[in-house]
Amino acid sequence: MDRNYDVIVVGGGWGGVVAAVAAARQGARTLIMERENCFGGTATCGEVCEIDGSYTEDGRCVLPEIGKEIIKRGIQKGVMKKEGYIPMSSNPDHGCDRIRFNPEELKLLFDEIVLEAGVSILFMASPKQVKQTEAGVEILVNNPYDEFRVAGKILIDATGNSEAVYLMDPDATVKTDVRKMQGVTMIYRLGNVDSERYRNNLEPDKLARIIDRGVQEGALAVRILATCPLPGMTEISISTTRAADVDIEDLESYTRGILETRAQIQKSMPYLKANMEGLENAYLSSLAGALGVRERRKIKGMTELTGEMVISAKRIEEAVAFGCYPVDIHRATEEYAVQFSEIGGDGIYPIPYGALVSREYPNVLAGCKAICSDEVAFASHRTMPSVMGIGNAAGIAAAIAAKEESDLRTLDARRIQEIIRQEYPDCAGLI
Amino acid sequence: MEKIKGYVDVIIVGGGMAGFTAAVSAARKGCQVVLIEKNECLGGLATSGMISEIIAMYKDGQIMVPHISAELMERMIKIGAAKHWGNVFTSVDESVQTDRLRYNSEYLKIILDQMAEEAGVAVILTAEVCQVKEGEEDITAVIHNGYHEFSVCGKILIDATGNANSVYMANPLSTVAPPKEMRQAVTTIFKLGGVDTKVFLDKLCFKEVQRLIQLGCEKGVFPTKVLGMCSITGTDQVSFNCTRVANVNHESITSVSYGLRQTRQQIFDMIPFLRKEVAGCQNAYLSNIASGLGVRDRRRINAEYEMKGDELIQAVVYSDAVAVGCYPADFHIEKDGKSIQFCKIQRDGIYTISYRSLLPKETKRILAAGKCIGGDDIAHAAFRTMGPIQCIGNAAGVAAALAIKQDKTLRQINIEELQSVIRKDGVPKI
Repeated sequence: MDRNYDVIVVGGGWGGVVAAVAAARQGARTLIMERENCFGGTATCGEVCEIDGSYTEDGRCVLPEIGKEIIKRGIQKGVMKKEGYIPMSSNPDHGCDRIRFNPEELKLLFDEIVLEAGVSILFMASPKQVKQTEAGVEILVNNPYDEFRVAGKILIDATGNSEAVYLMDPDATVKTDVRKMQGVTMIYRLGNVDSERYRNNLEPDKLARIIDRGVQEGALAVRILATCPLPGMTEISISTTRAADVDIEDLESYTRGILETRAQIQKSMPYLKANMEGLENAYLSSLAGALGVRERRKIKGMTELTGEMVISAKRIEEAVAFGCYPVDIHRATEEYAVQFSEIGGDGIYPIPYGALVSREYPNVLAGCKAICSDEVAFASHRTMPSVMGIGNAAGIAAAIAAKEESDLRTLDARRIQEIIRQEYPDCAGLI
Repeated sequence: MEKIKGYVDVIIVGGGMAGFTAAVSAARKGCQVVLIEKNECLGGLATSGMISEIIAMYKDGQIMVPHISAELMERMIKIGAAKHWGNVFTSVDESVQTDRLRYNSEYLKIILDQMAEEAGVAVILTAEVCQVKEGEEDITAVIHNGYHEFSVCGKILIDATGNANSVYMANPLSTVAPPKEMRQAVTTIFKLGGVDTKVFLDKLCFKEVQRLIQLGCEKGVFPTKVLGMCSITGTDQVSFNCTRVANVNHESITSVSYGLRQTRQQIFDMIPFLRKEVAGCQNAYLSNIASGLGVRDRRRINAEYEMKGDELIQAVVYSDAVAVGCYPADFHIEKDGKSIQFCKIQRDGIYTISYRSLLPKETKRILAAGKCIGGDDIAHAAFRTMGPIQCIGNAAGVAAALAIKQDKTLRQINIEELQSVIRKDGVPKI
């Protein structure tokens, strides 16, 4: 394997995959490293089998081209499906567009698209050390028996928690205030579901009754029962768990989160089987291999994307990615588990280039949800479509800066906009 | 500065079936135990690797595993997540038949959580041990993630990593590198869901499996002449053990990355064939891909005694026997047109495991449990399966508890006393 690259992407979730493919398609020699055995992150290992907020209610799209391409392939294969605009289980007054998929098939789709782009891949690899050098960034990767370094001109941190940047320089990142942490979730899948009858449960009033009773009887830990039937399968994914005050950076706290949510799943299963149509013969098909964590350690960026900018859908000069998912803040402790704010304006907000760029270093980008933003903005742009857009912009910016050996902080965002303009016909007015 | 999080009696590294059994065994015998696991769940290959069946737990009706394993099995059966099957043939040799406990790996994760908690085992998940230091009075494991580092201090450490990871960290010379020449193939197991289980099972026979293997090989979708299929209890899923990539060095990050990609490509290519040809799978879909790569090789400890394949095949009873097994040695290596080579166990068909094979040389406070104990490649090919692995885990847990209780070293404990406890734990032939 080559040890020298233009661009190194750390983390292979939606953001990392799109970033790596985008950089490679712009001609950059690109490496992606992922700590798990597959790509997809929360979408695969986390069993979040749904892309929320790709389209506005009136059908305008915020996805970058690579995202659209993966979804198109998934639909062709029968493993993804556009479900359209659907209300939230936690608050039916709000809704969003949903694309559902088989997470196992998504692993195969990601392999395919990354390999086709000519990106070098390392699985089961996370950085142990990240250093600035004269030529760029150097990353030490190891297991107990193997150790080597890879060098890149540009680092895209797509770990979801700025882990690579933290290893390089903790002061280049900011951790979310632990007191403001949102609840963590473990999603699971049930198999052998009678999907047709199962849909009867999803009528909002009925679902609310199932949730109310489940909480009363102590079978459900929180007032959430987010569930989706999956295309091409007789399976559904369910999110009913919550553990509060879990700090993902603390092993004991994270372990407690896993054990608590897994115990909640076992407790809820008999209730769901007895009270939801179509689950009579259901079995546990899969427990997520990773907790769904809504927080992140973020980078200190050039520009901060604020909740005010998101909710007002304010026009900005440096727009390089977009989102339309409402702001939803998940609290594990309050009566209403989720609080919503709709996006104003015409429903699409832009994400500025400066929010992706490290303020401290000339060669570091965030390529996932861990961009520089406040917690209200984050509660919207953390979803997959915006993360794809962020990855896409990061990949393109990285390829340009690597080629021209320029400082990312002074790169003119219009260079990226020139390339992405055709990808976003529905956002043209914002670029 | 690293901080010391706690002092315990026994530190167990690796929460697979060996480490889990060792932890519960030591805890039930009064020890304070911490169990450190790198994944998000216990069970190792049994859960993350989705093996979905424990083979050879019985021999002629007699149980070959300790009480803890029997209890685990009963709990799984009780919730409808496991079922015991009688004699099942292997896909490459009809004469090799063993009983099988077939189970749903997802429920196993939950039952393992419960049993560990009930026994009072402190579990740390998603934790990587990066250093092991053996001192005069204690042994320390340093644990870290990208953000923090802390230590756990104990009197004894049990290495149940499957790859002698902790022993290697304490002293590389106390381990023997995995074989290069006889490297076995690696596998990624996957499950299809939506299978018509009745149709699948009705059609299933050795002849049909051979037809599928032959056709699959002709069409180029099967890499080798192996097709392990297991109908998973309480589900409409079948697990498939048929991907194979040769020459993967599981200690190399690049080689493992390659192995993962290749096995996944094989799954991609195989699914249309399986849906078309395997009875009951016409409407099946890909339901799960294992998150752990199935690696059959291992780095092993340089043990006080290295068991020889012949000794196991001849069913030798070691004077310090502490565990048993009955599964024949099988090698996943292409030879003479066969993909797996079998050596059956002679005499009563039950081999034993020597206590000395759990003791790494040049160490004082470490025991190995699981497939990284001292044995040559043929011996390993027999004891690496989940039945014997649990039995070895139990023995390690008992030995650690005995040494701590009596304030003796692992080499001073009375073997007969150790054996008598293990006998009471339900293990035969000890």
